[in-house]
Amino acid sequence: MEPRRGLNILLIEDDARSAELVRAGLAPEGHAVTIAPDGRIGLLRAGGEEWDVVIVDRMLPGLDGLGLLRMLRGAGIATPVLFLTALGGVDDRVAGLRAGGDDYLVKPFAIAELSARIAALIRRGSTKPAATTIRIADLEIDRLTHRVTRAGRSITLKPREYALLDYLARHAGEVVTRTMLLEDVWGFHFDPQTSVVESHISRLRAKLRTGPEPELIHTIRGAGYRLADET
Amino acid sequence: MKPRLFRTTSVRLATLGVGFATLSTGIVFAIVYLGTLGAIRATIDADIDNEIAEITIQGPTTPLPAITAAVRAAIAAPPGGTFYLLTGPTGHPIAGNLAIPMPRPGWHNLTAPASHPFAPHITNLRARAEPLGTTGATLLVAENATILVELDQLIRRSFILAFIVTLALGLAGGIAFGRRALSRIEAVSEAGETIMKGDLTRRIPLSRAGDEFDHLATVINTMLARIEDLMNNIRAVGDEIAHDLRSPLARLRESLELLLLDPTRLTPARIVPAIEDAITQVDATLALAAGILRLAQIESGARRTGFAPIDLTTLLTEIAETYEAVAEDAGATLLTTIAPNLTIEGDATLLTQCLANLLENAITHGRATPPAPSTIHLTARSTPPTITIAIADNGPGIPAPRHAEALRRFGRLDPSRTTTGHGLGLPLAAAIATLHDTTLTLTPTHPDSHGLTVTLILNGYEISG
Repeated sequence: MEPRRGLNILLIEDDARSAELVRAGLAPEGHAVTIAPDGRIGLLRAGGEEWDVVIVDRMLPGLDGLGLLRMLRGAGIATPVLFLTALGGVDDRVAGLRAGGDDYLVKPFAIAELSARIAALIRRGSTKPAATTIRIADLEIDRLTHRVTRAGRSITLKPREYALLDYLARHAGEVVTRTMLLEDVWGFHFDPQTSVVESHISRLRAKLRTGPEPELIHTIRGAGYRLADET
Repeated sequence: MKPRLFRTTSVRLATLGVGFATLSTGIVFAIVYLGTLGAIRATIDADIDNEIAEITIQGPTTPLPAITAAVRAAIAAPPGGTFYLLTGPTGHPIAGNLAIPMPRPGWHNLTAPASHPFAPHITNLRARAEPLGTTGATLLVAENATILVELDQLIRRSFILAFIVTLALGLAGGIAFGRRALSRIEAVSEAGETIMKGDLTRRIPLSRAGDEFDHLATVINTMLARIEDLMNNIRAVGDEIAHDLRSPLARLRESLELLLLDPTRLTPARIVPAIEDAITQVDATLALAAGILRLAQIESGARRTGFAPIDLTTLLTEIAETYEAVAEDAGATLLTTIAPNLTIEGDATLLTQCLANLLENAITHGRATPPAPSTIHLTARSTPPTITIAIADNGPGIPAPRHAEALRRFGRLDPSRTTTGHGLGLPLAAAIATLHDTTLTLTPTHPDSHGLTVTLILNGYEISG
């Protein structure tokens, strides 16, 4: 996996302990996290300086997260914004995304989840329109015909399995979390009580790797999965 | 502040009513009064004019002796209640049967002198004094006008009586209505105060009248019942949350304390798994809290605004495909029979959760007793005007008396609470069903009461392909 550039992140969060946890949690990734303790300072800094990602708490003193984001977007600032919030309802989520947020993460969250989402945000902002064919090692995915082959061998996938593979492939080399998969592949905005993701990953793995070929879907302990050629 | 009787709307309205009634009575009486008296006076006046004309038969030039003779002849005629007085230029009486000083020329209402011939029956007179041309004499003719005064008094008395009756009846009615309204309102406010003091079971008593107060009371009682339900719900949920959150937190505390008890065991090799374990326990607790919040949000009904037409066939097919794999891993088989082109109006995100919860419930709790294979059957068919979705397992089932319990919050039927899941799956599904104007029904899959079938009947339609 390519070494990731450390990101310059602005965290607008009034809870000092939460903020410190995010800072400490993202430090090992090489990200520099600057903390703005309230909405007004956050808005000034978000609008006045260059950031790779802005992380905004929904409920802030001074100016709330939604209002802040609307003003930011109104001022034409397109920096990727990730909402952090204790408000986890579906409507809250929709409101956050409507206000111009790029992603929405409900507190409490695992640092691995936050890290994976930041990576996805950065990638979303920088990539060219998705290619029609994705190649990872000897795996080839034709995104127009939904044909999947590995080393020339055609692989038949069920629709959900294809959607899962497509998502992993579009985030190749990145960690995608179980929650990201549930939300984006299944449209589940709730936590299933059964191993929905695990069941499908294991089926997909079995279909992709019938012989001695290297494993392409890697389990990242405590975080999620990564599709990558790591030989 | 308690409302006082005389400040009630009923009494105020009654007072206003009495005022208007009095005014209209007054107007009616005035018309009758003026009309009647005017007509009688006109008759009397015509008689007087007639009399004067007869006496002054030759007009202004009638000689005084002729007039004097005519007056005397008139007095001598049979008594008819007509009085005459003829005075000379100096004002001295020449002839007549009325001993009064001659008034100025014109019309007069006079009180009859005590000395007149018909006393005391005639008390009032209507008179006209007429100067007689060049002679310098004045002729006065008066008619009995006692009836005018009597009528006047009669009408006035009648009016006052009518006024008093109107006033009395109106006010009495107003007070009676006011009292009645007041007592009804008193009942409402009394119930309200009792409820505010904490007795949520109190309701407003209904009269048998079926009037607007009863209508209002019924609405308020329905509202109170709903509030009581919600309060009981909150209380019950509070207790349940406290219980359900306390157990894992207590376990967490114990394991952390255990770690501290023996400091020699505090090696990284032991601490890291302990912390991981603690995080897992906290996560489970948080998931439970999230589930409770979600349930509360769905039950509040606010999500109904997100309703849109949903391609139910596709939604079901996708969920079925997802859970086929999960069921297989759990050693069960998910079979599906889904009719094409089913469409409903609803919230896709929530319906997905509802169906996912039901399937997970069947997979987790609907295991058949080995060696029988566990089978879950998902069917969706058009049953115009509805669509029936059924999820049937062949597991142990739930005895009918406990169905309601299973749909309730935390109604986990395993008392030891050792099975997985936070016990919110069925209640969440039930709440989502309620939001879609339907209910979940639980029935045994097999006649021997084995297996559980959850049926969901939604308002929907089949698009004719």
